[in-house]
This record gives sequence, C-alpha cells and structure tokens, in this order.
Amino acid sequence: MDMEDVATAVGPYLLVAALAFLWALTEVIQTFHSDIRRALRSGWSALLIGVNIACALLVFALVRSITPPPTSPYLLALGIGAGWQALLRTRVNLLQPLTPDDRAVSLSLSDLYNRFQQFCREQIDRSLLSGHASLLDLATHLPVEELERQVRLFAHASAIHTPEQVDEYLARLQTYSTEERKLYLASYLLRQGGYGLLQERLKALGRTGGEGRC
Amino acid sequence: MNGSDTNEGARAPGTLPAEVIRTLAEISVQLSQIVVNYCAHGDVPEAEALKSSQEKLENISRELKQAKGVREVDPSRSEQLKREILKVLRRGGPALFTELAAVTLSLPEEIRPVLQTMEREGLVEIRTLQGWQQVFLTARGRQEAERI
Repeated sequence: MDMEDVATAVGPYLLVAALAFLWALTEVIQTFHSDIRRALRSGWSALLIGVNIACALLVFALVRSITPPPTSPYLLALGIGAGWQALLRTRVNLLQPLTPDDRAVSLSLSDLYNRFQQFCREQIDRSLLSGHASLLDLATHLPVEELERQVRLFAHASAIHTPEQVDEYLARLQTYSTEERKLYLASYLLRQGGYGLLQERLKALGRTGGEGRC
Repeated sequence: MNGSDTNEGARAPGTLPAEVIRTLAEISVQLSQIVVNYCAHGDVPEAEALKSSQEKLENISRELKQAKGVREVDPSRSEQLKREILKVLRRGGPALFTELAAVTLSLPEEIRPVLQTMEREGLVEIRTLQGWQQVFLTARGRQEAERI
C-alpha cells in the first residue's frame, strides 16, 4: 500500500472531519461571540467539537458501508461533512398509528443532540462566569480612584453612556462602601470592555505599581 | 438602659432601617413564589394559608415603605431596566448580578426587584454559584429579547 492508496482511503475521512470541525467551530463562535477566545479554550468546546467530528465520521462510515461504492468518495464526503446535521435533524417515525389522534412513536436524534449542545453551552457559560468572578475578585484589589478613572475613560472613549450619565452613576455609588464601589466599577469595565480589557488594565496597573497602592 | 428600652419600644415603623423593609419585601416575594409552586401541584390547603400570610406581609411591607419614604422603582424605569437587561443578556450571554447592575447604571436595590419580577415571569433564571449570583436568559426571555 503506497502513499497514494493511504491518501485515497483516509482523504475523504479527513475532509468530513474538517467540515464537521468548521461547522462546530462556527456554532461556538456564533454563540459566544462576546468572549470567543476563552470559550474556545474551555474543555467543553473541545468536547462539542469532538462529538461533532465523531458523529460526522460515523455517519460517513455508515453511508459508505450501505451504499454502492461512489464514483467520487470526496463528493460523498463533502455532502456528509456539510449536511450531516440535516440528517440528524430528520425525525424518524418508528410507528405511525392508524388513528390520527394517537401520536407517532418517533426517534429524534435531533432532540438528543440539542440536549447535548445545551449541556455543553451551559457548562461553557458557567466556566466563563467563573472566570469573570475571579477577575472581579482581583480587580477589587485596585484603588477605587483608579477604577473610577478607568470607567470615565472607557465611557468617554466608547460613547455607550454619556459622561454625564457615568458621572451621575459614580456619584450615586458614593453611598456604598469602597469594596462595593470597586466591585461595581470593575463589573462595568468587564461587561462593557470585555474580559481582555479588564485583564489588560489589571496587568498594566500591576506593572506601574497600581497594586501597591491598594 | 431604660431609656434604650423605651426607645426600642417606642420605635415607630418609619424608623426601621431600609434594609429591614427590603428584606420583608423579599420574603414576601419568595412566599409568593412558594404559593405559585404549591398551586402548580393542585389544590394544596397550605397554599391558601401561605397566600394570606404573603398578602399580609406585602401590605406591611408597603406601609413601611410609605412610612419610611423608601422610593419604589418607577414603573417606567422598571420597564426600561427590564428591556436593557434582556438586551444585555442577549448580546453578551449570561451575566453576574453586579455586571448587570453596573452596565445598566443602576444600583443593586433598583435592579434586584426588576430581576425578581423577571424571574417570576420566566424571562430569566437566577443561580448562585460560589456566592456569586448569575443571571441566565431563559428560552422565553430570549424570545422576548428578540422582539425588542
């Protein structure tokens, strides 16, 4: 068996795996567009992508084994890789009762897959929020004046809120303890600017001795 | 000591701390939720008694708020907050309670009752993990957010 034979045998499988990978990757990116990098780093994303690839390969192997050898295995691989989820969404009615009032006994792989997707999504969400909580915990070690300054700067730069709105909010927060104010200010930066922004600010302030002034 | 006792005894409802009034209101909301859950399981005799207690507590809480002058969240502000929360959760996914308060430029006591109402309406789900309150959009909440 030379290299060409190996490529012919493995090539279609690799194509199916690549397409299923792209499909699952798109799902993760679409769902977690606000924090793609951290979502992809989560083990649950890897599981979701892995299961997608495994299912697509399984469908491809099944189709290949029950149909006559196709003229072009790559064409079949393209079809399965791009459209295996359509197959998955097909509801298979095992029993269709004669009376119209009775419900058909059906096998829905789609329900199973949706539950799995939902489960993975919830786990990724939890992992992201857990990261947020840890970062906020770190951010509360910064001086409150610095956090106020960062919030003002961000508000001016982003134009999400007017400077007056932000100033009014900062004034209203004055009735809270310093710890609580820090928490809400850091939360503002985290949600509006994203995880990366607050992490960057923390690093930068750490380098310039911000943590020393806590 | 007598003076202190006298003061405690003579404490008018209006002098109760706002925190106590808020807690009473929260207990009332939670009782209401228990009543709803009970009713979902059919006719439960305890539900009637609970409902009556919850109404009494709600009245006391309302009277105390009026006496104390605790500001109720303006209904239009509350509606605006609800829309903002739905938008924020739809755009950026689940959030911590503090994030939602900060991003909507509202104070915790302003946003908490709104979130509790939204939870009762089935728009959001509030979970607590390691002491942090996390707010998730439900399927119904997502539909509502898409309409905004």
